[in-house]
Amino acid sequence: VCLWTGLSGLTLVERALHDRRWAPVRDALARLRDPALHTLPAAERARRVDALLAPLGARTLDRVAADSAVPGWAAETVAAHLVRRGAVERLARSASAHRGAAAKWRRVAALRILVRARHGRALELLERALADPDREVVGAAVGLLGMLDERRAARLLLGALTGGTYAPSRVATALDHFPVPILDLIRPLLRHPAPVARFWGATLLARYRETPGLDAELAPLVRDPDPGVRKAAVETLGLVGGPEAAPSARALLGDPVWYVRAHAARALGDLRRRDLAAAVTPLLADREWWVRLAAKETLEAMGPAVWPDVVPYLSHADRFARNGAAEVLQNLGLLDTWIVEAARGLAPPERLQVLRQAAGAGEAGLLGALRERVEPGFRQAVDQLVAELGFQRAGEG
Amino acid sequence: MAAEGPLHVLLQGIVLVCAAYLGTVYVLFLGLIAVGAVESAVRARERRAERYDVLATSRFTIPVSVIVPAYNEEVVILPVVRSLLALEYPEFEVIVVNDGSRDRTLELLEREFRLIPREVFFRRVLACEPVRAIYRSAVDPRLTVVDKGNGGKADALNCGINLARYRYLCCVDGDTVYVRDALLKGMRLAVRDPATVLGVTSHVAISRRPEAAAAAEPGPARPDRSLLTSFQHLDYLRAFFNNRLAWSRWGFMLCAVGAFAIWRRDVVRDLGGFSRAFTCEDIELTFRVHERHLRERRPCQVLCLPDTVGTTEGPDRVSRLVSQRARWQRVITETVWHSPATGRWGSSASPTTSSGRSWRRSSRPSRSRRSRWHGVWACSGGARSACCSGSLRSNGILTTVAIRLQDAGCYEQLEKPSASRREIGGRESAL
Repeated sequence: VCLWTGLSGLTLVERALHDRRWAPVRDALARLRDPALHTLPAAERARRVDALLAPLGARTLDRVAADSAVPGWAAETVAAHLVRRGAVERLARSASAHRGAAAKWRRVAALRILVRARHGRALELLERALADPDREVVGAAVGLLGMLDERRAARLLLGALTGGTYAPSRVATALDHFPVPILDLIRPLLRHPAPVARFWGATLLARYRETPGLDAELAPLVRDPDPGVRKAAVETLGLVGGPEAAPSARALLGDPVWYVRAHAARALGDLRRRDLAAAVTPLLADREWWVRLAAKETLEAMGPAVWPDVVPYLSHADRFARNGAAEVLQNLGLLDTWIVEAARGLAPPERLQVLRQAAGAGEAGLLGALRERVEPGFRQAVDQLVAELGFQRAGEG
Repeated sequence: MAAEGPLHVLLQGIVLVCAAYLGTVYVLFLGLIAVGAVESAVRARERRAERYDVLATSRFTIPVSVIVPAYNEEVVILPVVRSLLALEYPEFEVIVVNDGSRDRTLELLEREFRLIPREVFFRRVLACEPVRAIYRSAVDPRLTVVDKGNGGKADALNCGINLARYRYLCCVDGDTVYVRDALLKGMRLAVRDPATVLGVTSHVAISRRPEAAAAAEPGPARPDRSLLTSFQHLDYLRAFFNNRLAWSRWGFMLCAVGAFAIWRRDVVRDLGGFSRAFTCEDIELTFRVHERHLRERRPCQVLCLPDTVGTTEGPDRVSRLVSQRARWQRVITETVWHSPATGRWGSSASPTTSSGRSWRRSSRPSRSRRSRWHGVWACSGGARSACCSGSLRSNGILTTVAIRLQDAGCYEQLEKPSASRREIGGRESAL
């Protein structure tokens, strides 16, 4: 009991001390927000900031400058103050190497402060961190390199991507958010011997979709032996557009790998071209569920005008194709419109036939949902129509 | 002084055994606190170095399907769904599974989010009760509501998984209101190493009014006026910030809690989903994930965050609290009981945790590859039972006694494809 009471007391005292330590920091940060401060000339502003932060200890300021929860402008102001205060040597020492867990996080914090202060030595220290055997240090270096607006930082990140230094998706995230354009550095990745580099090269190009001619650069990758690369290429082609996009994506609709087919369908959907619907509809009968889902969503994205291409699939031999087609017509809102037209007696006979087929393909659930969606005033007429056409009511049988 | 009789000696023996047990438990607690503190410090430093702004906007952040089982949650369902739709995350969907509620849960959702019935042809990979209707929101296309017959939380989760379209699942509770960056905090660990990080869980706070607590500004908060709620809040803090963080560091997380558990979908699917045979599906699934991956020697991490991701309701009466804790206790027992071969030594390993991995290795050589880990399960169960607050500690002893006796193939049965999983020519049934 004494032990637990002691531990509880210690926790409360520690909390009180923590609050006391951080009260001046909160105060200083509040004063840094003063709009008047930001209108001052740079030299005068720096002098005022230095005066404001001078009473605070270096370790406290280190924590503020390195904390990602602190607003960027405040952290950068504090980091710049630390540099002016002559902390560079100390920070560089901490940032250059570490021994032990505590020193590792001091190293990461020091790197962060130097990056936020835009100090010249940051890049060199980050390069060293990138080669460190510790994954957490490497991960931090990757994130921090992505904050620098220097092309050398981008080259280091590309080296990490192709060399497999760290999780490629995290390196690619840093490159995708890089502060300056690096299209010329990404282009060579498309011809890199490693599939992972070609994959990310194709994926990262999507950020520069406004650049003309990207589709021609990506088109050869749809014949890449690696399915991941083909998938990335067609995905980006969908976003980039251009004359090569549609033919390349169409060619991949018959790819032997299911996820390539699914992305090819989605890429055609991204192009928003109704004339491509006929190429996508056969995928409603694909053997893979994900491809069928992609086909349905693509057709829905193309809009109601696709219905002439979808309707034949209501009588397809494959049950998945039939109910997929019915779902597309339902989600496009066409069945809702047509059933009301039919209830009013305005539908031509061929439309009634389509409704009959859709109800058959969608089975009881589709009809039940359809009946529930129509205006209550039409429900009776819809029920009557259902009886006349010989539909099976939801819940029956 | 009278000579010591046999009764006196027996009593002395009992007292010594109890004292040794309590001593062991307290040493274990202190160890957990120390390791939990280290883990918390490491995670806090990681968190400070993370670029959340990039994670929140990157197209490479893995999308997530959030699954919300709801049964008679009319009081709190709207704030819960609103909080989920307000999550800061680049791409996610919210699937609310109304598990045959008898109150106005579905009606409120229909009205608030303008639900429109849609027939959706989805894969029934996992068995679940028949779906009555599926609704899509006209207000927010990320929201899907499924109305199905009552089958329990595990059944509702399995139904949600059938409809989920993304690679990661976030299983949450229908009575928990979440903070805006809950998903971002959780997925931060998963995106770093998706091959190894199979699950992530985190702490949830307890309040009588979760919606008000979640909406409060960050900073010091007044304690809840209800003593029972405050007790539970402290107990949750202890359980998560001491125990789970330590377990997370050691690699044998006992339970990714149902209130917030991120799972890789393929892992849950391959295991046959959540088991409807157990009262607390979250504990059972966590055990099963560990068991499968350790048995097959595949990398596996189920991590705990040192963050509060939401606020939930706790039992508002002592009788309900006792019932809840007894249920948890029973599930631990059930789960360990049904594990393939906990073993004699594994059972007596509880509640100590440090060296359980090797105890069973030599006891049954023919199954040594599998049995190597049984000590871990046993000690996990024991650690948890020992940790289950003062009133339930005696149950810890019962658990340790009850663990042994069974080499049941329950897990293997669960891993077999369910009878209701209809494969047609290599395809899953859509209907």
